[in-house]
Amino acid sequence: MFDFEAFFMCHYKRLYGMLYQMLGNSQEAEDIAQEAFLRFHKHFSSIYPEKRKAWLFRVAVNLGYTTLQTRKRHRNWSQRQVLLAQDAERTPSTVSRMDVREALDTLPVRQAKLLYLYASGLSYEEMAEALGVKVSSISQLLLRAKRAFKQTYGPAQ
Amino acid sequence: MSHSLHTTESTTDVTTDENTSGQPSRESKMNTRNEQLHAYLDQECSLQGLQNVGTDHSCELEELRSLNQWVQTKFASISAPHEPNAYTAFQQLEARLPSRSSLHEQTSHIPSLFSGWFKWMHWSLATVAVALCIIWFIPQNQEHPSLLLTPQKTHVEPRTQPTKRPLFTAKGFPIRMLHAHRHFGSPTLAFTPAQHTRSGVQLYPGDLVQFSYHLEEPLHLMIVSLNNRGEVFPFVPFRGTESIYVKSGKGTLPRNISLKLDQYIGPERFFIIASKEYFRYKELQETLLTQWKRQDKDLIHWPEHTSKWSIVQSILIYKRPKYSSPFKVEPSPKRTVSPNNPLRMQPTPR
Repeated sequence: MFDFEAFFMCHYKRLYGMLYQMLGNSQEAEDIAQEAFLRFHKHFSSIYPEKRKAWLFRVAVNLGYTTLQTRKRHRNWSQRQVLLAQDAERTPSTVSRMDVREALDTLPVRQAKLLYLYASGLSYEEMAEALGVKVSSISQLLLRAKRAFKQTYGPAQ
Repeated sequence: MSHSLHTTESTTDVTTDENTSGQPSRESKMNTRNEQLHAYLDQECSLQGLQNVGTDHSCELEELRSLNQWVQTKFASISAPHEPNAYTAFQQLEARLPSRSSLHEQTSHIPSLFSGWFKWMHWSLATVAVALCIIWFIPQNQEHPSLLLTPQKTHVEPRTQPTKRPLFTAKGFPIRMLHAHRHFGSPTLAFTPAQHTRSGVQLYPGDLVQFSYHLEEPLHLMIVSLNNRGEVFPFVPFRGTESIYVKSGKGTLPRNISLKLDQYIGPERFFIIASKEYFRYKELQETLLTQWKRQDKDLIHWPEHTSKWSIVQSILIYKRPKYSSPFKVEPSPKRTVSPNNPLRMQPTPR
């Protein structure tokens, strides 16, 4: 018997955390997490048990990145100021946050996704399953992504 | 700085370590030294896997450790300030799910290809079921009427030839005989609505009869009856001895009155005879009796033209003793005219 509720309770916080890191908006993160779990509930009977977590995070990271791309396409200066103001209400280091997200946005898609999945605590096998790459190449890809991220963020810093 | 470090050490030390099953392990597939160290820091590589990278790796480890720490710090800076309430989120999700029972559905580990096949199989089964319903039920309930009547059509009567009508009759409107049955048992004189009398109809003593006409040109007319006893009786004119002259137009005969049938039981044929010239009842009576005797006193089969006069219509009726007339029937004269009580004739369709 597969307990969907237990699965939800086990992975929701991590999923939400990853989506918040991607989007910087709690409402959007909750919506996309719900959408990912809905899709998972629709297809979970056809997913192998050992690949369920990877499948869920793959769907979530794809949805989140699609939202990011859509937002980037429609973003203008005023919306950026609004986001900046929203972040400013929560933490003092708002500029640093925006720079981190902008640095991640400038990375290649696969590297950015890999970093988000890595930050959410997935294993190499799960990351490989989520991105559709070999497990043996994850370490190399992840190392490149980390260095590219640091290099991209460095000049801004 | 980090980019140069990666490029300088990416082509060193290709390890070929294999595990006990003969398959190369994940550590052995990691080609570079930095990858293995990186995997080790991420707790994805064991200490045994690190033995092949040599002992002098403290510098690289320190650099990778600092890189990991830097990445974790940056991601921690953009992490959510508050943890979400998973229970509330699950309640919201539960409201959007199709059904509660499906949450605990048993997994069958069926590949997606087969699950898609099962979905299509459901649709195909539903289609086959609908087709079977159509095949089994519709022919039984909606059989064509002609198919139902086919076994009953054992005898098909030949199509009757149209009768030759005299030229002097009204255009397309023959003289019609009407009758009305009397309601037996009623304290008052009550009759059914008038009906068109067709050949072979059953009438009863006490019923009323009347004739309607529509003529385009005037003619001489007489209506008589011949029963199975060989008795001829003139209805129009009532007890008359010669034909009456009827002008063109519509009307009823007798005018404004109806005739009550007598107590005679058996077949009786009415003759509506017309001529452009005046004729007498005696001649007509003799002609009809001669013809009746010639055909062995058969009233049922009567030829259309038996005399020099034109028989517009010949109607055979059967009188049945359904009830006895409540009125006193005088033995003589044979027919009586009803009291001055005209029938409320209804126009019959043509």
